[in-house]
Amino acid sequence: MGYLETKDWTTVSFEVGRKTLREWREDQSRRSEEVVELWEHVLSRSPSSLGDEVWMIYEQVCIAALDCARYDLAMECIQELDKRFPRSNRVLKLQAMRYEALEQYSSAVSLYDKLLEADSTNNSYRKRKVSILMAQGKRLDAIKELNEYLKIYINDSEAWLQLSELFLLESDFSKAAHCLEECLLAAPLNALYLRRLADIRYTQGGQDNVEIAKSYYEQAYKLNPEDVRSQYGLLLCATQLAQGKISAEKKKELSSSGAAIAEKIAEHYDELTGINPEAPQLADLVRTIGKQMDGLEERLSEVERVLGISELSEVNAADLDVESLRNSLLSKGCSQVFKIKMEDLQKLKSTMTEPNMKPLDEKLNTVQFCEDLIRKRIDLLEEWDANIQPVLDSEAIPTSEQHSAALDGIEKDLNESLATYQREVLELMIFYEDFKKLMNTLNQRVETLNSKVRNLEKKKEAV
Amino acid sequence: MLGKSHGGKLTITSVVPLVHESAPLSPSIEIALALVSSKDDQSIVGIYYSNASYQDKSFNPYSIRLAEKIAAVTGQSTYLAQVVNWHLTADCSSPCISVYQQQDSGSWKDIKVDVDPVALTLVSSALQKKLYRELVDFENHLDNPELDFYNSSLNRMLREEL
Repeated sequence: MGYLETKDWTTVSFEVGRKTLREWREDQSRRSEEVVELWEHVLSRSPSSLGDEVWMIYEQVCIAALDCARYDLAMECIQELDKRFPRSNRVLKLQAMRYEALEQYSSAVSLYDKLLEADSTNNSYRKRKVSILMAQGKRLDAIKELNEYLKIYINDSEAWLQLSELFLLESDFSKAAHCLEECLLAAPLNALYLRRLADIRYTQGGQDNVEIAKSYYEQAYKLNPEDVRSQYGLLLCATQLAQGKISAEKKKELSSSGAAIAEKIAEHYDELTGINPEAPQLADLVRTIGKQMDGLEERLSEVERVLGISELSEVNAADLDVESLRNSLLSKGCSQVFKIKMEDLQKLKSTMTEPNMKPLDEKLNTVQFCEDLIRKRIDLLEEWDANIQPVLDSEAIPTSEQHSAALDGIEKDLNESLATYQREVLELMIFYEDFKKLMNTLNQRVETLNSKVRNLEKKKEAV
Repeated sequence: MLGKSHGGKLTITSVVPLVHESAPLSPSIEIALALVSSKDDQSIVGIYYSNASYQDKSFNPYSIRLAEKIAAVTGQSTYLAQVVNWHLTADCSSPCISVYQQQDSGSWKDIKVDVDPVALTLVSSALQKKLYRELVDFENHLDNPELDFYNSSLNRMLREEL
């Protein structure tokens, strides 16, 4: 299932079987059915020739057997291990896992609790208790337990990863992203975490999140340039962001980077033409997406320019209010505009507010529609030009220009006088402040002198 | 699920497996849908899914959201097929999918599905021959682009079984 070669494990040699099991032990691959096959058909014939490796193999086969509901085989393995390692906690853990597989959850939990009493530092028992909660479908309890666990064992990336999966099942994207960020703290150059975090951010949607996703994808791509997922991720982000409200040069940048990554993906598919029968068609599809990004972007920016929606400007509701626009134009005598049908203008308004989830060909239709409107507008503007030419030729315009120049001069003078007036007022105010201070001081002196005089007079009376 | 409809009946002619995690994220689904929907002949009529837990017959919220999105884009009603895990045994005595269609009220109603008995024998023999190990989904393809997620070689093998 997704492996390059599916082998018939029942017929391989002993050495190959042993080597394969060792590889899978080291990679921690979960190929349980195949492990059981390898054991039963190949290795179990002479377990003694495996030497001391046989105990690890028994453990591996036991867990694989539990995965395949082969409880008989699991029991055999546990018994062999128990004979060799009596009273071993590791064997007891396998026994508890067997209870889990048989859905005897309470026995499993009590066994894990006993194991925890004996060895409270072994965090795998705690994690198995969480997986019991997950198997019972008690996702929220599992989340709570994992949270408690992570407060103690804060560096356990496996647990953070599992917690993020649980949050995803609860559709809580922000918490899931937070968990992945914890994993990333422990291993900042791990392309898998980066890419998965990018996936979550992209799923959350919204311009900020998609931009964050893009930066994560770029990092992941830098670390592993062959990763098709990050390449596709970059393509998706570029397409998404190019449709948002951003400057024209950013749009150009995005569409060219999108086209470049599409080309890279398509080239990869080209190389696989002999191996994957669908590869040529996939290459074509990806190239089409890339091309449409390029062409679409240019046409979109032309449309925007002509409609007067310049870079960085916000299209606010007032701009799209057809009725008031019509009235204001009518008041200025522009009855020409109304040669464009009202329905077309309203359709234009609706396309600007509709969500972007449309297939590409519909989007192309919308763009063509806009282009047709623009051509109509150009024709109308030419008509208008022709009508306005006599006005332009008359003298009113140069005189009005002179007038406006004179007005500009007057405005400048006024501004200068205002400035001078302000300066003088400021000086006056400063002077007034100083004067007040001086008056205050003088008043105080007078007060002191008065009190002295009163004192002297009192003394004179006393005498 | 890809297919065609004639009159009141819908025939599902082929499927493309997409992902194998319970909470799939947007990017792989979006790319997969874009690629599959741009492929020539057939149109997407719905999605099929199965729950991770053996006895779980509940609806998966992601699958529902995906089906609604497909309905919004194609403009037609979409079908949701759930694999009934406990019927998928080596002898395959009863059909193992339930199909649902969304009503106007928003709830999903169980509808009758015609399963050819030959199909059941085919599934049973495929299970015994462990042909499921050859199955490639879109996620496998993303991890390794050499793998063909349209599964044409598996289809050929299945046809030989018939």
